[in-house]
Amino acid sequence: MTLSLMDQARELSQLITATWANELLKKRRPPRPHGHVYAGGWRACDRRLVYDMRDPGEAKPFSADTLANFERGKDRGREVVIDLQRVGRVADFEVYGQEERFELKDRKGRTVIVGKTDASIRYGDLVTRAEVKNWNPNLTARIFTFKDLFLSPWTRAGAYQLLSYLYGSNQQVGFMILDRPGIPRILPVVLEEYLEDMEHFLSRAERAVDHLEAGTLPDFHKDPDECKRCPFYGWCNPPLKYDGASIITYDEILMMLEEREELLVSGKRFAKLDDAIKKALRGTEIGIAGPFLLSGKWSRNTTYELPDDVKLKYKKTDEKGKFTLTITKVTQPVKLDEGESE
Amino acid sequence: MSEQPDSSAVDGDIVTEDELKPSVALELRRSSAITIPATVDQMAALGDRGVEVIQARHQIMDTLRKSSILLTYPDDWLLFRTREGDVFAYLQDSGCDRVAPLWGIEIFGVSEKPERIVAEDKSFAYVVRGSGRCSLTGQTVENMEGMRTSTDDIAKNLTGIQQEYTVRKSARANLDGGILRELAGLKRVPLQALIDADPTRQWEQRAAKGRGYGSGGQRQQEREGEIDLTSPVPSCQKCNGPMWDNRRDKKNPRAPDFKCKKQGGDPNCDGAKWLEKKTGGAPPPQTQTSRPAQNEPPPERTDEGTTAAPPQRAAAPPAANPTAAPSGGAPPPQHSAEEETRLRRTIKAQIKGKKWNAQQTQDLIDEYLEACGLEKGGTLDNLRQDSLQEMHEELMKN
Repeated sequence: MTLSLMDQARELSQLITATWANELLKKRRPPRPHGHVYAGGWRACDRRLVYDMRDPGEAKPFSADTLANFERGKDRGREVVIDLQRVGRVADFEVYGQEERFELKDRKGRTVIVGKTDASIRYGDLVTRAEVKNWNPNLTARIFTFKDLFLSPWTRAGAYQLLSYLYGSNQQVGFMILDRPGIPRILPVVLEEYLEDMEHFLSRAERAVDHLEAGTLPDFHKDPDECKRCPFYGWCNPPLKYDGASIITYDEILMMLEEREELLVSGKRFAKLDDAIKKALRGTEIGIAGPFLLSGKWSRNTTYELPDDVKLKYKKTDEKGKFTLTITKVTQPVKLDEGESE
Repeated sequence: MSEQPDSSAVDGDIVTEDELKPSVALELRRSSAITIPATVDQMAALGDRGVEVIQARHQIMDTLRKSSILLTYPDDWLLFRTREGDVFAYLQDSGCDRVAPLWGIEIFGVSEKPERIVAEDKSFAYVVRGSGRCSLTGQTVENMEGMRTSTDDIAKNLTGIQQEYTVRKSARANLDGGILRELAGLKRVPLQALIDADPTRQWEQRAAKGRGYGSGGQRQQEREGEIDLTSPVPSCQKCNGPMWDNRRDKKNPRAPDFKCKKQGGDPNCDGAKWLEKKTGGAPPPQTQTSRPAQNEPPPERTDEGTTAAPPQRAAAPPAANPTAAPSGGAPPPQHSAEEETRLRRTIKAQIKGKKWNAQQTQDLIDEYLEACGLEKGGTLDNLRQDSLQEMHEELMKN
C-alpha cells in the first residue's frame, strides 16, 4: 500500500520532531552539585537554594522543549550582543567583556554567588553591565520598567542576576535587555535603588552556603503556591497550610448582600437602559417623551491630553491599590424546620 | 492643636472622630473573639439561637461545597457509574489544588522522603504519608497515603529520570488531593450536585470517565449512538424485580443489556433484556424488546409493536377503592396475594433506597395518595399497587 503525499509529509514532520527532541535529550547532562549560588538562581525558598547546590539532580529534569528554549535563548543572546556592538559603532559606545565570569564573596571570604555577564557597555565615563533575556513574549510584553521584573516569579530571578553583576563589579548602572518581536526592550536600573534587596539576596546566599557546609537544611517555605511550582516538590515534602475562606457572620453584611442580590437584575437593567437613553438623547436640552420631561445641560469638562512618555513619568503602580470583589450567590438560605436534608 | 469639639453638642456641622470611624457592626467577626457553641448541650442552652447556629453552619457548609465545585473545571472530575446507574464524581488531584485554599487545608507530618517500592517486574511505586486538618471544620485525618506507580497512565510512557520524577511528584500530589477530598467531602459527589451548582457547564460531557462507563471503544460506540443508554432500567418481565444495567460494561456484544437481580421473589429468575440497536438517524426506541424464555409466551405487544406501557396516572379523580384498576390504559398484571405482598415490599424498599429528601418523598407520596382519592399524610403502605409501581419507575428515571 502506498502512502499519500500528505501521509508522507506527516511522517517526515514527525520524524524531524522526534529526532530533534532526541538529539537535545542526548545532550542533557545531570547537573553537578556546587558550593555556591548561581547569580541567576535567586529563589524565594531558602531550602531550595540549598537543594540547588546540593541535590540539583533531584529537580525536575528539563524537557526537550525547555532545552530547545535554552538553546534559542543562548543563540539570541549572542545575536543581540553582536547587534549591540554594531549599533555601538554608530552611537559611539563600546560593547565588551562578553561572558565574563564574576564572583561575589562574603565576609568569611567564601565565594557565595557566581555568574557570567552577557556584556559590558562603556559610554564615555559611564560603564555599565548588560544582561540579555529571551523570555516568553507573553512575559516580556508586560514588562516596561526594571521594577516590573519583580512582579512575576518567573522574571524575579533575572532581576537579581543583573543586580548581582552590578554589586559584584561595583558598578551603579545596568541594563536588562529583553529580546522580543521588534527592537529589544532596554530597561535601565540603578543599583542604589535596589541595594537593600541585593544585600538581602547576598545574606540568604551566605546562609544557604552555611547550611550546605554544615549538612543541614533551612526551614520549609510557608507559601504553598511556591512549593507547588518548585521542581523539588515530591522529593522535598513540606507541610502545606492554606488560610481558608473568611467566614463572615454579621447579620448587617448578610442582609446587605441579600438586598444587593435582589436588586441585581433590576440594577443592571437600569444601568443598561439609562446608558442607552442618555447616549441616544445626548444634546437634548429640553424635550418631552410621553409622560416624561427631559432636561439636559452642557457643562465644562476639562481633560489633560498628555503624551505617553510624559504620562509614564508620573506612573505609579501600587500592587494592592485596586481591589475587585466578585459576589456570587451559590446557595439559598437554609431553613432546618422545612425538612431540608441530604 | 485644635480643641476637641464637645461630642454632646447638637450641631450638624460638627462631627466627632468617633462618628467618623467605620461602624463596629461592619468589622469582621473573628472566630477567636467569640465563643462558639460546640456540644449539643451548649446548643440547647442557647434555645432558639442554637437552631440558628446549626442553620448557619449548614448554610456555610453548603456554600463551601458549592463554591468548591464552582472553582473547578469539568475536566478536573472523574465520573463513576454504579451498577444501578447512579453517577458519582471524584475530584482529581489537579482540581484539589484549586479548592484547597477555600477550605483552609493544612497538611502536616509528611514523611520526609517518599518511600520507593520496587516490584518484581521492575515497575516501581512511590508512597508518601501525611496527615491533614481543615481549619474551617476542625476535622483531622491522620496517616493518609499518597501513591503512584510507574505503570500509571501519567508515567507509563516515560523513562529514566523523567519517569522517576513524575511518579514521585504525583505521589505527593495524590496525598495532598486525598487529604482534601477526605476533609472537604469531594470524593464521591453526585453528578447532579455538579449540575445544580452550575447547569451551564458540560460536566458529564467534559469530565473524564472511569468505572461504569465501559472501555474507550464502548464509549465511542455510545457517542456514535448505536445503543440507547438514556432509557431507564426496566423491571424484570418475569418476576417484576429490579435489573442490572449492563449496557455500558458488557464485554460480549451478544450478552443481555439488562439482567434480573433475582430480588423479585424468585431466586432462580433468568429474566434478561436486549436493546434494539438504533438505525441510522432514527430516534432511539422508546421501549425495549425482550428475548422470550423457552416455553413461555412472547411479551404482550401493542399495535405499534412495542410492549405494553405502564398504566398512566389517571387525570380524572380515581375510584375510591384503592385496589381498583385505574381508568384507561392496560389493566395491571394479576398477582396472587402473596406475590403482591412480596412485590410491594420490594418496590417500597427500592423507593426508600433512593434516599430522597424526606420532605420531597412525602410530597410525592401525598400526590399519589391524592390521585388515589385518599387523604394526604399516609405512607407507602396506603398506595395502590399500580401507583406504587408508577412512582417507583418515576423515581428510577430521576
